[in-house]
Amino acid sequence: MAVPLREIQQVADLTLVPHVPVSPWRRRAVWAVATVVVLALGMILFSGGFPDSLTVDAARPFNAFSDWVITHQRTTPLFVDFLVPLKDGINAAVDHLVLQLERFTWLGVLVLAAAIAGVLAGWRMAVLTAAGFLAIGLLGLWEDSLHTLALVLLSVGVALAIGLPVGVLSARHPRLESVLRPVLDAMQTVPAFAYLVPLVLLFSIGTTAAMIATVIFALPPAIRLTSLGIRTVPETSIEVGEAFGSTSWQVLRKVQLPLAKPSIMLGVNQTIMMALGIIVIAATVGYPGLGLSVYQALQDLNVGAALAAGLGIVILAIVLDRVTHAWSERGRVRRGSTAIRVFGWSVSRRVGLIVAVLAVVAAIVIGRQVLRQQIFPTGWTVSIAGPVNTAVDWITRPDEAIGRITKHITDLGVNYALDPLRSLLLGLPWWMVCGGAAVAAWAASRRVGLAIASFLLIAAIGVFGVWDIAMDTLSQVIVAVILSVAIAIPLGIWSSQSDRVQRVLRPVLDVMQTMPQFVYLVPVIALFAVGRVPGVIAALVYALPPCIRLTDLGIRQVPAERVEAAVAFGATKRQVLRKVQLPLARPSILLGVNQTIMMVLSVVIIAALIGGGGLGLAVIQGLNHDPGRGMVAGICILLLAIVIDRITQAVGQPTARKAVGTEHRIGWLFGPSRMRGSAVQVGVQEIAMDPREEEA
Amino acid sequence: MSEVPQAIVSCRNVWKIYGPKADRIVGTPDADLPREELLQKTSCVAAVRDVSFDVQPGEVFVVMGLSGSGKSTLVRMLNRLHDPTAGKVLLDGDDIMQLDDERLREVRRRKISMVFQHFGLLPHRRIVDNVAFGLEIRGVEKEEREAKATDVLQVVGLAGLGNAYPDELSGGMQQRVGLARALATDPEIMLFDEPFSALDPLIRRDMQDEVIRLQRDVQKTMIFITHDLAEALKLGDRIAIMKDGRFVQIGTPEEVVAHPADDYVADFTRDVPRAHVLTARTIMRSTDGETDFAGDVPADAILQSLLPLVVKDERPFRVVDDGTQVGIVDRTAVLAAMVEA
Ligand SMILES: Nc1ncnc2c1ncn2[C@@H]1O[C@H](COP(=O)(O)OP(=O)(O)O)[C@@H](O)[C@H]1O
Ligand SMILES: [Mg+2]
Repeated sequence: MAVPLREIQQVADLTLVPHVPVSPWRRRAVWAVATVVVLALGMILFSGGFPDSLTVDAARPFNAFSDWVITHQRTTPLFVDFLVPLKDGINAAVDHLVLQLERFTWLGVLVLAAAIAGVLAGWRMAVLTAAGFLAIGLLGLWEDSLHTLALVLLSVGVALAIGLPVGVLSARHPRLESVLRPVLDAMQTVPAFAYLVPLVLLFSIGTTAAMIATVIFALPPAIRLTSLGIRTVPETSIEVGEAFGSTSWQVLRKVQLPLAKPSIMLGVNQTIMMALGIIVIAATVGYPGLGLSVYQALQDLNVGAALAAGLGIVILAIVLDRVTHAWSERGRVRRGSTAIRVFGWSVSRRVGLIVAVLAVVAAIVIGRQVLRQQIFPTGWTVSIAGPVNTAVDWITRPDEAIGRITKHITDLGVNYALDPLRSLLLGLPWWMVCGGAAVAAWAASRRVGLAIASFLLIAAIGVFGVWDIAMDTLSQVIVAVILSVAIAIPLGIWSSQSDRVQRVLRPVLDVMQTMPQFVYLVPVIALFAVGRVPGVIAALVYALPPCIRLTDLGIRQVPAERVEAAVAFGATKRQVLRKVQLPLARPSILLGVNQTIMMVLSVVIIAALIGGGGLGLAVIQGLNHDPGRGMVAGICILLLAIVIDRITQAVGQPTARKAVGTEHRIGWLFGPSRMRGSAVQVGVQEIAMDPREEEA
Repeated sequence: MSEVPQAIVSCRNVWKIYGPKADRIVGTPDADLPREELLQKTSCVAAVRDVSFDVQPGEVFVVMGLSGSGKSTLVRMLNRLHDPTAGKVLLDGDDIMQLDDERLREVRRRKISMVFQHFGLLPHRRIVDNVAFGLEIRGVEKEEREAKATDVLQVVGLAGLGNAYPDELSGGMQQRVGLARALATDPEIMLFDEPFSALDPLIRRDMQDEVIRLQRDVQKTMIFITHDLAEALKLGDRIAIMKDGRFVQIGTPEEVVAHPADDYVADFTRDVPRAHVLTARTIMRSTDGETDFAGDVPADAILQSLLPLVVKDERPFRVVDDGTQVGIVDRTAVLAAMVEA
């Protein structure tokens, strides 16, 4: 048999080149020193920052466009015939829904919600829903909640109406999928803040911009999980359909959709949670509701009020999440059986439905005729804002223990991490920063194209004249990511080694992942006041769960035989971990790190609401009075997100392009969104998918 | 010439090549390249190469080959789950490539059904609904199809399990459901793609017996794929041995065991208990004038049953078919046939 050339070469290398063992630590040390030297030389020899001479006034065309819109929106057909009616229609629909909910009275809405939950997901969920709505009423958040709920419901309805059919189509037409993929990628990579500005340019501040932003944000999981669900239906099941003579419509209806149902339901759940997650962002363009209350309270530094409204959002999130989750679980377990169990009795579904309808009608009649209260009566509410503020004031007094500690942490963070890093980024000449991105891209992917693109995209940020604030944002992202990963990976490893730890962590992570990102801003301003440090802390905490989960999952998914093989050779637990589990879990862990980075970025951006500054602040200012600058900042957020995302995606699989493709898809699948345990399963399932499929 | 009955399924020089520009390869020298070289040169895989055969109505035709030899691909071309790259597949003399979508679906709904390797049950449907699947697709009313499904479940020994779900059944029972589903549409032709490979040996044997029983009762044409020679010998009226996409031999079980076409087949059949497969007919010779016979044996008697006879008596036996003598066997012939490999 012929010996392959490569092996001959290897043997030759072995014999000719004396083997010089280089300890990896030594090599790393050399690299570190070299890097420091280069950076120092860069700072000493060249002036830092981005030269003004290279910038362009990118804001001007946008401002011009904004002016044009303002002057032409009554005359141009695009506006008169399309955008304005669209806007009016959306406004009317949302207003109408809110009005309708008010007409049902609070009791009617409460019972209606509970009845829907009960019919879909069982009586426990009905009780949970009723309790949740009651709590919202008692907290004095009823009216705000109606607005929020109306926006969420309509946006989710639109997102599903678009997302499900598009998902089905894209699963069946690979070409459509390949066109959609980058679009969805962009939609999921870009923090929602970035596309608020163009929406405001077109529709001005208000309901329409808020709703379209929400739909855009909530659409990708609906499309992706529908498509994923259908694509992962086993080939044999489809062959069965075809072999018995099904039309393609029959295959879809009788085989693909039923088998894709769990994934589609997860998509519905994710869509709802995404919509709910963006409502504070919707508030920045003036949509009323819980989000606006949080937003205003944050601006007024009224921690108590922010906490109350935030609590309302968390309650809504938990109710919606649990109900949709239980609904999908039940769909899986119940299978066609038509009975509902209530306190041990088995009630037929039809009876359950009739009871639910009667209860709703009765509640509405009572609410309208007897109680005559459209809104939850103010006399019954308890305000928690006051006591909370008192408590917070007390806790954070600088002379008290906690206040001293948080002050200390803030100082440490600013003086030893954020400021030095920002100074470094700003002190280096711009081309070194861009070059750094290029080197990182090349090291991660070995693709010259990506390296060049990274260099140019980062340089573009400078050209657009927002270099300084972008570096500010970047420094916060880097600090938060390092800390978050440093906490998450060890926790994930620990959780993978101990079922008890996993059991304790799981519900905590579940709750953390149910909460919308801005909710994390509230407790941190209570403890750390405003500034960059609370934003960084909120970001790093928010980003913990997926990385912990993916580390844990990656290690636990290492096939048992591999571990056994190592144990059989006498490896200690530590050795098994270091030599078998961690290397094999690498793709999963790297996916976790990628998630961390994208999540941190999105929170660092919105942390501008609590004094984080940076690009996010420019967007907020842009929304209020400087659309051009807001637009530029939005674009630069997008550039930064794309570069960071591409680089970290590439780290996973440097050479095997096929593998990059797959992993890439999973990363995108959940984008910067939160990821549930089951969603992770779906994603990882896709890692394991047949490579043949990948070529198709 | 006697009337040759029309084959119900026939393949004429059928090819299936996966990969880019697959249709340009058939007819060029590349088509004969070994697998690796073809892949290197054209990035194509030739799964089925130049296969021709005829299956008569009521026959059980078994295709046997190792994993990757192209069996699944071949069987899927018979109902056009895959389209052949070249060649013709005829059902009752009609070229199935000529069928439009509508007529193809009709064929699949009524004429030909399939049993799958990993059962292919739909997990979200009850057992009856799985069995009734083909009828449902055909548009049969709910009551009628459920009645039919219940009947068929009885036939395969699963009476009363109609309301269960697939994951509540053992593997063997699941494949009975798969079998019932294929029977429920009352097809003329049944395709089996390694239906029992995933089952334990004992259960596999039960299932094979089930198929033999069914075949006796309902007389379907069966095309049965397996990688297990014992299964092929047990079930097949005729066996085709497949290797690298080609048929290397077609014949009755006996022919294959007694006269392997090449070393490859011989290798397979080496461990076959020949005493159970070979018959008197295969090993007999014509008389050269002997008159002193120990007795008569039927032509289809297996060697196992001849052994005690030839051990007791050294004289040859007459081999008789339909009352007439067709040849003779003796101790030497029996022993030689049993040790020959
Ligand atoms: N869709 C496909 N694309 C490319 N190659 C395939 C495809 N399906 C099967 N093959 C290849 O064709 C050959 C025959 O496969 P198959 O018919 O499944 O064999 P068997 O059923 O005998 O195990 C195998 O080498 C397989 O890798
Ligand atoms: Mg096969």
